[in-house]
Amino acid sequence: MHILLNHKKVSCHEGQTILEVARENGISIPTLCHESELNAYGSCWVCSVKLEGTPGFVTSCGTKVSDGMSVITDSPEVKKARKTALELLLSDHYADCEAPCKIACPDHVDIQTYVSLIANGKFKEAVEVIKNNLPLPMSVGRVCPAFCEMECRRTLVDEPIAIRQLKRCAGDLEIDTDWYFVHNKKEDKGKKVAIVGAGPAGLTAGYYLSTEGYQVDIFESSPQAGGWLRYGIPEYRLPKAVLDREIEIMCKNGMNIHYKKKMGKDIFLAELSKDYDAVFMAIGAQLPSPMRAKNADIEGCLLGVDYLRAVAMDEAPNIGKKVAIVGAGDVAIDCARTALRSGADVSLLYRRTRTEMPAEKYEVDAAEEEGVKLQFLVNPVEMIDMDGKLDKVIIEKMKLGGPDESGRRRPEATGKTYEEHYDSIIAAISQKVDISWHEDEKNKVKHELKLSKWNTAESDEETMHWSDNVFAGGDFRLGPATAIEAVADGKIAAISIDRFLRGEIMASTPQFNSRKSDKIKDMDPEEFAEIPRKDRLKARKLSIKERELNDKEVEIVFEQDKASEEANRCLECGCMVNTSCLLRDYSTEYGASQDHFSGELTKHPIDDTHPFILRDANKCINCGRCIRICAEVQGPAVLGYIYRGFASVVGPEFGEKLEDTVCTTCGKCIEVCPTGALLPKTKNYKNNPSYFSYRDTRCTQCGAACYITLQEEGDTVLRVDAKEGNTFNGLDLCYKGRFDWQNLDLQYAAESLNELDVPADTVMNISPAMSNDTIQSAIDYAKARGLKTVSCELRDDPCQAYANLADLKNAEVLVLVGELNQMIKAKAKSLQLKGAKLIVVNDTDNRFNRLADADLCELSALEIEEDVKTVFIYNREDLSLDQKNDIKKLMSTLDHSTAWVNSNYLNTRGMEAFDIESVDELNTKHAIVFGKTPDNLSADKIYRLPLRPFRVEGSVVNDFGEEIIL
Amino acid sequence: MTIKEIKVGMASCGLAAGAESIYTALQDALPKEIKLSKTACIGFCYAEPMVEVIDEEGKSHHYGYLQLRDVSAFAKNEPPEKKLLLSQVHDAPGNKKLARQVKIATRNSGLIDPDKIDEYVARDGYEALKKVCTQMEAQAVIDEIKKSGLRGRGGAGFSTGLKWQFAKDAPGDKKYIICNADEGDPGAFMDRNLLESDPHSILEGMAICAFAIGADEAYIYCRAEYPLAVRRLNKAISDAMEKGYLGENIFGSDFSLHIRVKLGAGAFVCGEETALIASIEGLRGMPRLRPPFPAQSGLWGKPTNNNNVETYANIAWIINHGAEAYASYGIGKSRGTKVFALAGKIKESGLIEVPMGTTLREIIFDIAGGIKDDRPFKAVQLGGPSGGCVPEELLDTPVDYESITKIGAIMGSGGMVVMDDTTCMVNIASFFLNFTQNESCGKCTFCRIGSKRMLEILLKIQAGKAVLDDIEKLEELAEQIIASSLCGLGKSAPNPVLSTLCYFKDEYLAHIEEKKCPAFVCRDLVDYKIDEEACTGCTLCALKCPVKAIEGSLKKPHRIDQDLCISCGVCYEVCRFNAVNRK
Repeated sequence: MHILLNHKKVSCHEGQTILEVARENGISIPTLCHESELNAYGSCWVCSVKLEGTPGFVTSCGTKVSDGMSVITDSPEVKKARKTALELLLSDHYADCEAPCKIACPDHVDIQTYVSLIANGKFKEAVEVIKNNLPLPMSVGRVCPAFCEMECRRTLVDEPIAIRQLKRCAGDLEIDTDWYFVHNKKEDKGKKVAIVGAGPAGLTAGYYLSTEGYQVDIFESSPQAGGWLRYGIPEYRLPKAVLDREIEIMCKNGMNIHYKKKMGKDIFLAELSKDYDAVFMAIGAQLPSPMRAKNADIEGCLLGVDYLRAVAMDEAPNIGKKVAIVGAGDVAIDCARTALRSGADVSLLYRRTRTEMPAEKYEVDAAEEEGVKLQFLVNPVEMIDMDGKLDKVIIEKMKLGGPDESGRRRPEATGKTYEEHYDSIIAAISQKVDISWHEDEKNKVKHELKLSKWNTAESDEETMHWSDNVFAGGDFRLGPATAIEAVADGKIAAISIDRFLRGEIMASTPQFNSRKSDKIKDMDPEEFAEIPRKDRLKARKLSIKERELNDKEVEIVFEQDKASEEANRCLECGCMVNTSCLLRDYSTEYGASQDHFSGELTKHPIDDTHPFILRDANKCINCGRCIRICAEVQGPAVLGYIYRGFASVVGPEFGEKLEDTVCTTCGKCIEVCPTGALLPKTKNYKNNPSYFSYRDTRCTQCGAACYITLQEEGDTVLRVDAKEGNTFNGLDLCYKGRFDWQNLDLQYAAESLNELDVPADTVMNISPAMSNDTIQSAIDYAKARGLKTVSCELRDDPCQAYANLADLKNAEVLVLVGELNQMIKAKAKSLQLKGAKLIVVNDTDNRFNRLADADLCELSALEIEEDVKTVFIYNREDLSLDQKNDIKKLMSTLDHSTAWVNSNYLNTRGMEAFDIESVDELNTKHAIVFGKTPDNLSADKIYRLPLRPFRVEGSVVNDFGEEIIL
Repeated sequence: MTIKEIKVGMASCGLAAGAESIYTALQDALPKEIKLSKTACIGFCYAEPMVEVIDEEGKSHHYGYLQLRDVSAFAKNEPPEKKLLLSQVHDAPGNKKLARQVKIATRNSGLIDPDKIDEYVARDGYEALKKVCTQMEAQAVIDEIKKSGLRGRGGAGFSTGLKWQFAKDAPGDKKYIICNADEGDPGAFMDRNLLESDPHSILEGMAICAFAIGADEAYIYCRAEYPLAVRRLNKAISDAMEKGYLGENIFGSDFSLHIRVKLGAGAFVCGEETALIASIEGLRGMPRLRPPFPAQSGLWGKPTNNNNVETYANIAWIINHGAEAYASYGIGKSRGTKVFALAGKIKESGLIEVPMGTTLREIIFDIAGGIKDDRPFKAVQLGGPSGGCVPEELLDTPVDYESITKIGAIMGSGGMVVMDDTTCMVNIASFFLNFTQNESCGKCTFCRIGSKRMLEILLKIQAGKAVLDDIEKLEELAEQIIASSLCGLGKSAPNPVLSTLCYFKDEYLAHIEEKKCPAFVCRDLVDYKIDEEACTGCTLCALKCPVKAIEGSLKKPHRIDQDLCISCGVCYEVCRFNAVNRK
């Protein structure tokens, strides 16, 4: 038959759904509730389509095609209906896609991920993650005000995670060693980019652009790179050696820095714009604002930026014994502490009070500790000189008035003044951009280079694009800001310059982000009441005595094991499946907003009771996939809907905890969940949402050798999923394959046989879980040393007609005897859905049994017609030899019968080819054991060799007689 | 007058009003020559408890509003004249209230004792079943029902004959029928009264249906909140089994039928047939995708026919009197009669049965006597929470499926709630939406979350916090919910909002733009103030104020503390000097 799909005639056949036909014809329709193993359900309504000539919409998953039907899948009204469905779901989706720390960070560094890596002791990997956004972790790890920590949800439990210190701890791996991390440089793209300014913004852009394969030339007016980091931050906070090393590493991908090239003097924008394919202006804002007091141009009156810069260049001026600093920002504090280190008596004069000080609190405290005298509600109004040199300062007393636009209380003059002697006064009020070059014709490009009223560049904040091929960012765009904000601009500039040079649209589609709240202050601390408190790790600082008020770095880096402990405090706010969540992907695709239908939210406690499955109903969208798969295929029927209306929610009956149910931990619910409402838990390991790789392999936990995909962090397995695609096990795995491997805690005597030296009376135990190659080398080893070779685990099986996958597929009757793992039961159930008759024979009260066509206690009760294709399924280790013989006898009476004999060991069939003695029990003095020690083996000393889950190497033969090379 | 017989109305509404004690008192007081019997719903709920008196001429007289002290008068053959409602109920063509009614589904209500099968049989009970079993072919039965024009009385109005035909034609040797007695609309009680007053008519209708489609098992899915109906049904089933009207080989034929009563657990959505089927199967009552329709795959995957109580109640009458007789009532495509439950601000609430096509005005003003306290009529709500509100200018609309749908309401199962000028239409919309919202099964996104968001907007409007854009958002959501829901509950949930928005938009605008509730219902928008000149200082308002917000001493003007006042309006109600003003 035919239907019209978006007015195009396509052929299809009876019984197909619109969704299936659309997919066959390459038309993508989103769906959240559809589960291909089950009948259509039609709850999410995200797959809405329009049938021409009928009112309303229909679900494409639940509507069967009929001849001549005209279906519209892509009209504006259909798209709007889908968007509305998504927005309604999002309006009750109390969850964070990304961690709030990452969102709070101007540079969106993937904090949750690197913190988890630090928790797992993987510091080098952490550096890699940090450098995906931030190429100067050592510097920023020292000077960052840590916007991330201000939004850290852990604050609602006790204190925020020490994120900045953790970053520094990882970053510092690159000091004093040969090891460093830079991204692999991509192929040369044959294009050139000029960057003006080697501060954090310019260096960041330069690093990423050189990595992308561009030739990068940075022009820097100073004799050295680093910008404010070098000339603004004092040595005791950021040692120059650290900065040098960091810049050296950033240059490894080939960016060139040309020093002492001043904008408007040595280099000109018109020329750069012509000679280079793109220009990034990152000239910073380093021109100090002048002091507003009278007579402030005499000797002894300095400006903060000039002073810090001179000190950094080893050209420190003589500031005398008694020094006043004016201001209360970070620069003022840096000046005060630097002046203190020159041996002066330092006072800091501020118009308002401590509460209004913009500097970081810990910096203010450190300054005071070191001896800086803080004086509040005072304002220098006039300098009095003696012989042209500063002698006295007239200071006016201030009082606090009403709040200004920033919310801080405004200082008001009282008219009362007093005089005080100072040798010098350093004003650190603010900085601005030097735009003296801007009006010069030589610095003009075709279009106007717009400046704001503060003389900052008015470049696009999403792309940094300024005009023509010129981009601008960092302090030049922001005004005086923080290093991390400059880095963020540099990173954005690098991305959009790359896109610009490829001829692509520069701005990227914003990715949808679900948020529990925009600000931490809007969160209810009650939500975190159950979390045990644990104090934040404080970085040790040099004592005042140790500091000796010289250039020694004051703050001391965390020790690694302490850092890991601190990182373990992380609450993992960001969703673990934020890169694979269908709800998020569709919301991005349809531009859905979480706030369009905002209203009451249902909040649920997170069920963390189950050892392997985490259930967060806040992320649930009531699609019912987990409920249906658990009840209709897997059998236990653990989950259901509770309550009605808006309050309805998925959970175990009576609101029980998952742990208290008959859950068989097959994990299929996780596999079918389209959001992160059901997640696997990784025992003893901190998981993360982005730093992992996938590896397709076969499960080594039993003879079925299911197709799996491993999520691995280096060598560490994080998560096991059924491999996507048309495999015999589909989405099914059993508890052993999906979770149980985490329970193995193996200590090995040696990593390989070669390392092993054993006494002559040692018995070699061969496990059927070993590959043929390993078995052969074990036999060779034993033979060479005259050792006895046995197997405590190999069980006899009398079966003479093993089933292969084709027998299974064509079976008309399936007889499941005894206990079997969940994957096998689900496989049988899926064959039943395709028409096979399912019979279970066991003496247990198993919830799966109710899904069978016949549920028998005894094999003798079984009645099968001789000529139907029958497959018996049993586990070789579960049944006794008598039972297995009974099955064999029964099979001999049937015309077409085979048996799928499942083994708890991967390579039982392969091992049978070796002539190894099978023993029921072994007591010996010495034994060599691969992997887990069998229960029926005891020895005074066991030499254990590794047999790690998913790391078997060599050839094995599975339950179906197939040889697999692993 | 010489009283021959007294029948006491003992359906739920009568019992609730005290009919049981009246009956007991009469039992003690009446002389032997006066026969005392029970019946069920007579239809005049407003006047319960009530009795029907049959005099020596066989004429009937109804007395209502009875109290225990009236009992002795009956014993003395002097019924209280003041309490006479009307005479000759069932044969009084001049009576306006009765003249417009035609009793088919309710033909036995109020006349027979529902617990006595013989009384049902005496009024031609089980004659139709006998005729069907002994003289008719299944197809002929279906043809007769088709010809009668009977449509589903549960609300959807699908042709009953056609529905039976589908179930009959569906392949399979095992079939079921279901009677949907999960009446749940607020203000609707047609089914309850039919079940309580004449259970056998429903059993007989079901048996005829089972015969026609070839079913041998049936369920009555009845809400557990109807204990009397369930008791009478169970008694009726066992009596009918005993008499051989149900069970094996009915009337000597090959036809057998077993009927079971299954109690619902109070979920409104179980009135939806696929949810109802799931509920009988022991699953959570949730609608599922259709097709397959229950006629193909229903209860336990077998072909299943499901009709409403009132539909079944009509069947035996049609077989007995012929399809033409039934079809002679009604207009257009709506044939026969319909039972309505009248409630709300109406003088004579109760149960009526009228031919299709009777106008709303006739029902409300002629049959039910108009609006309580003769206040102005404002609207009538038809079809329960899925229905709509009809304004005065449309009162001459005839009640038939097509006309009612055209004006934005639905026939529904027959609930009619009448409202006067003290009703706020925004409040009514949020009342009904709150109901459906809570009763959503939670499956479909639009119904579960969309109706909640609509309700929140209505509450915002009632609180005076809405802006004009909110109306647009309401309409946008309403449209989307109707277009994207699986079952009738979701598809119709926005109806009360849409119909009030259509006919009473000015009230919405008053709430939003002027921050006023014209009916003085939405508390956040009403302020009460005492006119100090009119106040006599009687202290009544201060005594009645539930939050002690009124201060003032005896014979001195009182004052309302606006910070404490919750705008409940009690002071306004109780003031005898019109000294409390509201705005």
